Amino acid sequence: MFIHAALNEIHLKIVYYGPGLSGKTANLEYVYRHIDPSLKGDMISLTSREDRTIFFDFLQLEVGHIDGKKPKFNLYTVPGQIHYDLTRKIVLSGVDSIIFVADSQKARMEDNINTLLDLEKHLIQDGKTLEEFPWILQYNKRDLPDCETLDTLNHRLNFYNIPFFEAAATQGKGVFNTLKASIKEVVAHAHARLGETRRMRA
Amino acid sequence: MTFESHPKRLDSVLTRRQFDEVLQCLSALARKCRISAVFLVNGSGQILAEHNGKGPSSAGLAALAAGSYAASREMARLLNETPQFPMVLYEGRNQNVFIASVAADCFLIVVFGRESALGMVRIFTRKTIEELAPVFGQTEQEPAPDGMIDASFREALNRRLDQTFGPDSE
Repeated sequence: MFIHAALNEIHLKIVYYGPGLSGKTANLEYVYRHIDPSLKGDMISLTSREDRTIFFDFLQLEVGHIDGKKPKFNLYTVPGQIHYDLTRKIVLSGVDSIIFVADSQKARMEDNINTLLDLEKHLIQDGKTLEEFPWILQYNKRDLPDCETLDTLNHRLNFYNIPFFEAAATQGKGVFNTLKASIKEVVAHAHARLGETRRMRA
Repeated sequence: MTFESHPKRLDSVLTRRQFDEVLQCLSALARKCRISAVFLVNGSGQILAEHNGKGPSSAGLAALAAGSYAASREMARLLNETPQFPMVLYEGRNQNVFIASVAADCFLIVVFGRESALGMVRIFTRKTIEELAPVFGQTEQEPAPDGMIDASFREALNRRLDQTFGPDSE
């Protein structure tokens, strides 16, 4: 989080994390295509020739002035492929909240779990933990056949009982619900952090 | 202070006084070197201050430069080059982009054209970094202003999110 007191701006960084082809970029593309142009900047995608994310996608989102302050949300995705480990670490730098995009298909469960462990590793390296860090789950591709049940997904992935959302990102289902929940989560966390800092200084 | 030393990590709050000081430094650099634009950016890609005369759109450039800055830091680590590469230069036909480390998690993006000499940009950027050092010294001590994020802000934001993205759906 960065607070620009002079301009009354609050900058928060939200990262879409998840295994390769789980739909992280699809989420961001849907947001980019369906939001009021005055509230967004250009979407930047660093992709390979095969159109796979190799570094990140980026989109800055605003929702106007709120109580005289201007929140800005910097949305990033990470590359999901295993060999981009260092790149994921780079994109996670300074992250305030994570949307973990899991692939609901049964065949992808191990990939989901391995990627979640990978995320936890990066957070721990940065002095954070999944238990205390603000993150939410999106179970994507609910429109495809052979999906795991929500009970199974929650049992295997949602061990901290965090908010979760069903989605079919390519059709836009659940995309805004997930983003809204993430923004609320990160702002609530920032509120708590600022209160804690004030109490420590008092 | 040199490019190579990083005594302070930029904290999460920039006050009006610090912002004004930073802007003065950036404006002076722009004037002396006749550069198109200069941005002070943190490691998350957030712009702390900018002097952007006829320069490029800023948020995307800052995000890309933050990625480049972080990638060069990781490359330095892999090569045992410590603390990190002090600068990255993208040299184009008409435009150049110079990224220079300022503090542990903060850097300058200097965009300049053919009317500016690289040597001069390097010298004055180094001087600007020295001038910025005391600002970062203060920044670590600054608390967030009261009421920046409070219950009222959160309620208003939630209403705005519903207006912007629509109410929650199944």
